[in-house]
Amino acid sequence: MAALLTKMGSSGQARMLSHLWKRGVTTAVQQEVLPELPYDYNALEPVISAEIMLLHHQKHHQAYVTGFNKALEQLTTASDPRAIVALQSAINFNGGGHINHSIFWNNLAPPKEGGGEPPEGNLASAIESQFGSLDNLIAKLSASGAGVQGSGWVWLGLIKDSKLLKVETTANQDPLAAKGLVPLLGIDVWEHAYYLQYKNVRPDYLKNIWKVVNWSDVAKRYDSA
Amino acid sequence: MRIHKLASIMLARHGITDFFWSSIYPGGGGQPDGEVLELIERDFGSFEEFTKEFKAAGVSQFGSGWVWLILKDAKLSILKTSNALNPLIWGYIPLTVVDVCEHAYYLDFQNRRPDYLNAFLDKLISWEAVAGPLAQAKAFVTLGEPTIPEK
Repeated sequence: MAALLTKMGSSGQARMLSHLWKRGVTTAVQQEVLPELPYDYNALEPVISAEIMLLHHQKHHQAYVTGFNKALEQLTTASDPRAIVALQSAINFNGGGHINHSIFWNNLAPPKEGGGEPPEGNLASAIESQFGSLDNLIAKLSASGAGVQGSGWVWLGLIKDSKLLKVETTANQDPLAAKGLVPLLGIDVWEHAYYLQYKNVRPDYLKNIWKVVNWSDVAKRYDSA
Repeated sequence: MRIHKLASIMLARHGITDFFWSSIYPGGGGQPDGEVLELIERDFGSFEEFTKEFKAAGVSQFGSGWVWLILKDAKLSILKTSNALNPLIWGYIPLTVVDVCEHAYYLDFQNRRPDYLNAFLDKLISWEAVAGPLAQAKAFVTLGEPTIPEK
């Protein structure tokens, strides 16, 4: 049994637990799992190094997943309002980190898989009419990203009702939904996203990342919002 | 207005970072002695308890920020702040600080912030530098029982 569990790996085990839970076999809390990266760790080089991608995915994102699952577990056993409320910041931080990074990996793609190619269709028209051009939007996103104090994200978000696009920033791992926007494109400006390669020169990271932004993923989110 | 806000954030960060540089030195670390150790044992129970609490604060400071040893209500205490905030805002007295923004440790420790905090306490912290602000604080804060000087 132990050998089988080891072979399944943690994502396999989590899927098994989830399956058993749905069948009512166990009351284990449904666990989140680290999503696979849609490309190899070196696929975004030279824009983002394999070393950064490995640490970012396997250490940072995994830590958010682990932290979120732990907080959820504690939530199921918390018995009084004080204990429950005390878990809020851990759930927001780790859950937000998991949500944000899950979007981020898909927002990026190697150039041979479309990374860096300008958007088409409805998103392209919306960008043109609301920002004048893709270059204008990119300039705005880069400037906002460079201006984030401390750790956070810069986003292209969508106001669902009016279908209006908005450039917005969030602190730490706060999800963009907390600002009432649908996340379309997120750029991680925490230092772990670029420091090993770009050191403190965040503007250089922001200048280069557009070469691997997967605009077709962004467009899909726009169309399905 | 935005420029004033940015300038004040930069100034605050500059001040805190300066304080950080004077809180560490090569060959630092280890335990304090004398009055600093007495106060740590009085207010945390033991030096081990202090290091445990200090490290726990360090790893639970989500995002960028700082972990401070402060004097609050005449007692030693640990405070964590984010970004450009510092204990003076609340009238507390900063004694030492560790920078837990990722740029402070990422090249050497990557995501391993706990290892960085161990290194700070084992090899960097200047307990001599704590004595300075503590001595100044005693000019207007009574840390223990007030003593009547002998004639």
